[in-house]
Amino acid sequence: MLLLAAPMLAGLILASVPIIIHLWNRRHFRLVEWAPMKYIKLTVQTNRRRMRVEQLLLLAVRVLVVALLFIALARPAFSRTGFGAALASRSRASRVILIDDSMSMGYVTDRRSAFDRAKDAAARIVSSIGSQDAVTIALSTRPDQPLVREGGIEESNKVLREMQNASPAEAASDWPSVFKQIDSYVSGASHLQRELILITDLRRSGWGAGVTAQASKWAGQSFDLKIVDVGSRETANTVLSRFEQEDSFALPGMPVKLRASIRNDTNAIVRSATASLEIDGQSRPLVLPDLPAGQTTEVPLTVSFDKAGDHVLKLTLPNDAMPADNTRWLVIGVRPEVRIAMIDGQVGSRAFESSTDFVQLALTAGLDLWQVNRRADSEWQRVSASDAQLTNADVIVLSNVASLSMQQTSVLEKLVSSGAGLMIFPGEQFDPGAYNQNLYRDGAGLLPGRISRANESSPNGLAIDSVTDSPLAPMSKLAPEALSRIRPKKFLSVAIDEKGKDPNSRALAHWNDTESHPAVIEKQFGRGRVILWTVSADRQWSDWPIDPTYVLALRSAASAIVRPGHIGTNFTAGEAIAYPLETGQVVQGPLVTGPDQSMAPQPLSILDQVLHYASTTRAGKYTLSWKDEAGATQSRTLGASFNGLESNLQPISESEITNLLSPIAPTFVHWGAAAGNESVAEKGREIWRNVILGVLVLAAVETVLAMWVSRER
Amino acid sequence: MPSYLVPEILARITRLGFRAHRVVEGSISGLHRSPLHGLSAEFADYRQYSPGEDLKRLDWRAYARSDRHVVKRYEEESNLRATLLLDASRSMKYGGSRSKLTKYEFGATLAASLAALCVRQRDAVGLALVDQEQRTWLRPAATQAQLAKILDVLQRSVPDRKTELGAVMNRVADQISSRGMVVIISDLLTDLDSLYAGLGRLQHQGHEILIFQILDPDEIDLPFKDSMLLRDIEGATNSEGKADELQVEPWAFRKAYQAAMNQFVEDVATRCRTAAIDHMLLKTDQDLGFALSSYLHGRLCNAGLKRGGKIGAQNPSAVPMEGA
Repeated sequence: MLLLAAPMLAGLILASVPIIIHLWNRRHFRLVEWAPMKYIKLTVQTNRRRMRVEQLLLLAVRVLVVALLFIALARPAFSRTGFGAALASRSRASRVILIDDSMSMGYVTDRRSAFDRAKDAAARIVSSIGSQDAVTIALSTRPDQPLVREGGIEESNKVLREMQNASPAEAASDWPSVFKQIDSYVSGASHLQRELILITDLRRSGWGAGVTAQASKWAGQSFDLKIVDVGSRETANTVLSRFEQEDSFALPGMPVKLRASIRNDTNAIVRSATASLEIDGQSRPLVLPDLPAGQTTEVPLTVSFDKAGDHVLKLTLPNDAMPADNTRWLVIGVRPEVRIAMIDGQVGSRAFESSTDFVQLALTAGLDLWQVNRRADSEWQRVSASDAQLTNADVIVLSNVASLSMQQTSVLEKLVSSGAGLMIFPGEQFDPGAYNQNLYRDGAGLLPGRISRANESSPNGLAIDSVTDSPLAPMSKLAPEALSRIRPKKFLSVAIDEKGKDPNSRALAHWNDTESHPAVIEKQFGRGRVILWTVSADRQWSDWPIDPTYVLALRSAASAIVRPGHIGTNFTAGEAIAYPLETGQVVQGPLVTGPDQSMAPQPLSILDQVLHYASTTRAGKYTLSWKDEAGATQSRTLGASFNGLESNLQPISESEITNLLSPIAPTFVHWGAAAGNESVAEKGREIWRNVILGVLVLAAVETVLAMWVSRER
Repeated sequence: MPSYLVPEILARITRLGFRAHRVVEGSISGLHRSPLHGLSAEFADYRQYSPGEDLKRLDWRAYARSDRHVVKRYEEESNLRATLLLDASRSMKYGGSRSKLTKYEFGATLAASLAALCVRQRDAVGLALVDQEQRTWLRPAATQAQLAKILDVLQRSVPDRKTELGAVMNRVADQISSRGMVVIISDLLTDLDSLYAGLGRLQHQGHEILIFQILDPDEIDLPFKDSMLLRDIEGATNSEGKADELQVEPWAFRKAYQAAMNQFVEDVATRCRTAAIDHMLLKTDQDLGFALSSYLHGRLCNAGLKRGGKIGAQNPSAVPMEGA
């Protein structure tokens, strides 16, 4: 029930007038000394109870007539949502209307999303508030950009009209940070009475204990919190929880492995559904396997690209109650080639005399796009860190390099840290002590373990360790006999994970000897990976380089540690774009174009050689463009996908929220699916005419009743 | 001091006279029949001869005709001894807006008029003012001085006590030695059962009883329109010891009250009629002279038709003498 002119209710006090008159009449009488009391009593006692009931009935009718008259003047309107009671106007207030536009608000029930209802509710609220109230309207995914700040009703209505065709963002609402931002509006409000009206779907995602501190701060102020629940309690949903590139890099013509994960959170199996895979704007159907209820189904995909550059993939599942989490974007940067820089400590004049000959052969045979730049160790001594061939290398190979200077070590560490892969092969010139000193540094350096000595025992083959994301994973599929043929005459003895100082190091393979010495060791260093082989790259220590398994081992290892694609190419909606520029790269007038094509390109900020942009609440393709030093336009494409947290549709109860927001006690109003679908224009049905009709009927009843009660008896 | 002797009333009733319907015992010859036989020449009736009685009173002619021994009786005319019994209780103090007089004043005027009439026709008249006891007693006398005494008593009296007519009636009966007329002037708002018992005793003593019931028209109609607090005029208290009061809206039960009062008056009238007691309802807004003259006129016309009954007991039936 809503009262459009609630102040008129003050007139209800006049409903007591009939009671006062009744009591006054009872106290004002004419005193008469009477003789025939016996006969008075005789008749009065017979009628007294009936008379009293009749008089009370008449009094009740009179009170009701007056009360209903003022209720009618208060213009009651009937609303199923209970909005009227919740938004009953009081004194002037600064009202902050916070609309949850997180992805879960796109959940559709009865052909209307929670966000649609939220817009209705917001419009309804704005139409209900007083003309002298100050209104701030903000969205939860970008609370720092209020749509209206301390504005009036007209401005608010205009903004809400413009929002009518808007859809929720694909980002999540992090309520603690949202409330922190909202606090700045509340604190800076112009009126003493402040009110936050949060319109949300009451999903658990985003709520946490962090809101309690903010609530405690608000508790001491003249602050009201009203939460308008526009959501439903349904959770049935199919979500594309993952769509990722499995291979670390892509080359033109090279099959690239992708993996999609689909979680079916409905109660029924989904059979023979057809998804849509769009590659660079060209869509193709993709028949999905059966999706069992309550389970996640992995869907492997393989694509290849003809040209180098950024390729945009968009995988879309069939439509369901929440369409936003059915689509994921993936931008794959296809590089034109893989650049390998080899530093050879033993360069020979004839074939296979150099220690890197077998490595080069293994990595480039039949692979045109693997480009090797080989140089002698002595040549590297003269180059600087700005050596383009080295700095642009995706994989760096050190073979039989006796030792590295601190400068060389520093250059390598910087390159590996930025993502380059590093493979180190020992040899006869290899100085373990120098390596330990500069490259191991008690676990702080590039080496994955401390090299102790060259072991000259001959192990009985190689054993591949079963570790996650192993660069040698393809080797594990080989027959044991093939691996048992790998019997080095000599190998480095390496101790890894010394004293637990270096958790990033691990053995990928062990020699099959009594002590099970590590054969291949890996270390994650920054964004790059380092692989230390314990045998030489040539045939000095073993015949493995002429074994077919050597090619497989090197190719799989090199592929795994190739410098990954550009960081930040794919990100989650709501996270800020932070695109790192290359060292010394000059960009002019950087702009970003988002998925919302109606928006003009927005400028990017540059901070510490990183391009920044924060308004990324929409999933889709973001294009960064700028002019380089020569004035040529450069661009990169980034892909943003929805925030998976919002796919968790588990509702949160009012009591939980009340506990989280303690000590303030929010008022809950329901405008959800259960409350019915009310249009924006509907303020509820005004029923004052009905009440007036009731007043007239009661007045007639009062007249008849008064005549009947006061009849001569 | 009010004067209850109104010449206009006296003028209207003097020519009518006030005659007893029953026999009365008087010491001098007058207008009224005496219970004593033989002194008058007017034949009254026969009675059975009792052995030992003087034979000269035996009616030999009747013996010759009917072979029965009867004695002839003659009526004797005597003067009237009337006792006016006026209710001077507090309930008689009530006077409504439509009346010029209170019930007591009205009753006193009536009593004075009747007393004056009696004295004028040389009948003895006495007065008893009663409430819950007998307050004043003037033995009947037929002198002008008696009338003056009566008027004086009436004027001095103030009705301010409770009513208990029944008990008082017995005492009055003790004080009236010879048969006469007892005129009761009251609103009869008292315990009727004890009143009827007292009346029965008076009748048993052979007195003729007249009842003038005086009520204010308000008490009959309950014409009030306002909310009222009615308090017992005689100061009765309820079970809690507080004054007996009742807050009422008169319109809410006016008809029921009127019916109850009418029933009350009707019951009294019926009971009196059965007992051959004259009962007349007088409202204080009535013209007393007119009402009294009408009554006396009617009484004069009905003289000799009255047959004695007794209140509170079966009336003995007179066996008519064959041939009487």
